Amino acid sequence: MRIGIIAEGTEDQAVIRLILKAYGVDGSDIVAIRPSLQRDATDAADSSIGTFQGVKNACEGKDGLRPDFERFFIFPDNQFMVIHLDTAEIEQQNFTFTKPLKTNNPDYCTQLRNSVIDLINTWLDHQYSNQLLYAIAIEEIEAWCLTLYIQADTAQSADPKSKFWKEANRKKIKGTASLAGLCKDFSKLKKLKSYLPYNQSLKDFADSVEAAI
Amino acid sequence: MLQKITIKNFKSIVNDTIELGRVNVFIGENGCGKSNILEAVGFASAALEKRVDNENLISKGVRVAKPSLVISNFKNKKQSSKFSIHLSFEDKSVFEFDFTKKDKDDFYTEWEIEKNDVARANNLLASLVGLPQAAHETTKSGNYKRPFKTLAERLVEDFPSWVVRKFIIYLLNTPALRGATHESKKEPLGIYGEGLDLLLASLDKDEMSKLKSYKYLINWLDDFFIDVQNALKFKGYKSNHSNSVLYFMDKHMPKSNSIFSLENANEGILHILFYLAVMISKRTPKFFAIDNIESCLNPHLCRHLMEEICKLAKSEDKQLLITTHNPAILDGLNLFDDEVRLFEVKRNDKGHTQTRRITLKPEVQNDMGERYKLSELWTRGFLGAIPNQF
Repeated sequence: MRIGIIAEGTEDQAVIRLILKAYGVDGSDIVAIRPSLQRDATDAADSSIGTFQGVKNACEGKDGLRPDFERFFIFPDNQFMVIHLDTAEIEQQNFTFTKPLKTNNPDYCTQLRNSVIDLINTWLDHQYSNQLLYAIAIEEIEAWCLTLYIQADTAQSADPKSKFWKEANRKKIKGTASLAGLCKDFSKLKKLKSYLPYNQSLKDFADSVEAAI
Repeated sequence: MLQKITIKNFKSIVNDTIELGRVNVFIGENGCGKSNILEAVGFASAALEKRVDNENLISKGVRVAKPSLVISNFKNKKQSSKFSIHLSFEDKSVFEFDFTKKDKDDFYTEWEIEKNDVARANNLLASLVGLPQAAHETTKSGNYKRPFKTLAERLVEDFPSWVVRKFIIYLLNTPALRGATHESKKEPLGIYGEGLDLLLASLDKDEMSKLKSYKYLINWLDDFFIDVQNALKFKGYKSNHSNSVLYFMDKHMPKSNSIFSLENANEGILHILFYLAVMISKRTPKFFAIDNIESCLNPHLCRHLMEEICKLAKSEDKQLLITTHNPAILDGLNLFDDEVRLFEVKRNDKGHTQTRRITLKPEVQNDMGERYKLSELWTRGFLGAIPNQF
């Protein structure tokens, strides 16, 4: 079984890859479709490839065709596609989208995640839905990563990206400074499961992967 | 035909089984273990010949190394004392070989082979009948006579396993094709392409006719011929660097002055002639490998050549293992033909080589070509076989 990833950025892709590995997916069976593979030197100036807009473009396709999905799913071994989106700037990127109320709303993360999933399925014209795994990071994927350092609901953090790097620097972790490099423990199932209670959207994604595989 | 090969503890291959077709193309990132698969077959071939020494292995195109490097060697895994190769053929015969050496640092001595009972039973007849050395003789016209074949030889040639004995890995290089170097010990046709002129000279009329029907592949080519007497050399047509007596004629040049030696021909035509002649000739192995088939060839030519190789494999009853890094080769493969198989070779997270047959959903058959091209699917990463670390 091979799994593709369409993500906003390469760092997001790398974190998702770690989570898939925790559930036994070998790295050689994970296909990083966007943004990394669709670039060439000529296209390097196209900054939309590795962004929210890039994910949206891939899902919406053009002239009724969605090349990333069609091409990926013509191979029977290619069974699932992970679609990643951060919700932090989703209203600015998608003017018709309205986030649920956050204050005093215990189901905020679940409701927001479901709304984003609906949005993605609208983009896709409701195709491929039983082959999709939704990596919807409430706020930013750094909120998922923050669970490595903070044993509290990291979705409540106002600026998870800054907080993550602040915590990472505070721990004085040596070596690689990449997001995935700091989140290697996500690739170990027991450790990953210990982080899940601290971020609902991370848990929802991890549960969906576990159910699919 | 060889239908299935299982390789255990050989180089980067800890345990892998490959179900083969007639034409088998292996793709994967550099260092994934494609050539190791070909070499495992080379070892099995040497074992069937009962001669697993460095000289025989090298002559088949196998890279030799000390046993501690040939037997899989991974961190956190105790190294086995042996590696194993199991072959299953279409006639249901099975050969199982275990390769060992007492001293894992002993580079020079022959590998010891243990065969199981199935193999022994199947080998019995072959060892009873024995085989004479194929004696190649040259006729006055320079053509090679057919090697003398005994009844026994003809009998055992009918065993599918017999063809594995002659297995060779061809890895062409241009100086060898041009006759400037002669490193391979195989005669008349070396693993690097040595002896292309001798191979062409050995073709019979029908074979040569088939080969010449492919002249259209090279736009400028009027004809080619072998200067049996080597007379043109003394008329200034070639230097002394090459031993080859193969000459070409360019259709755009005046007839009176259109001949030139292979030293002056482009590299592509030499590769094309080699591949086609190996496919067409009855003297070349029925089962062989081509490592990096695409070198020196235009992408469009790669596609067409591959289509023709698939046809010839069937008509000439050949079985091939091919490695390539050129996506255009894939466009010459019809993956809906079960005899034509494409494999991704990859290293898993432990570094072990694994092979995966790439198939397509049946419903996309009518969309292949115009809508989907395998070459594009490969370069865009949808079918795998690319590095993913950058």
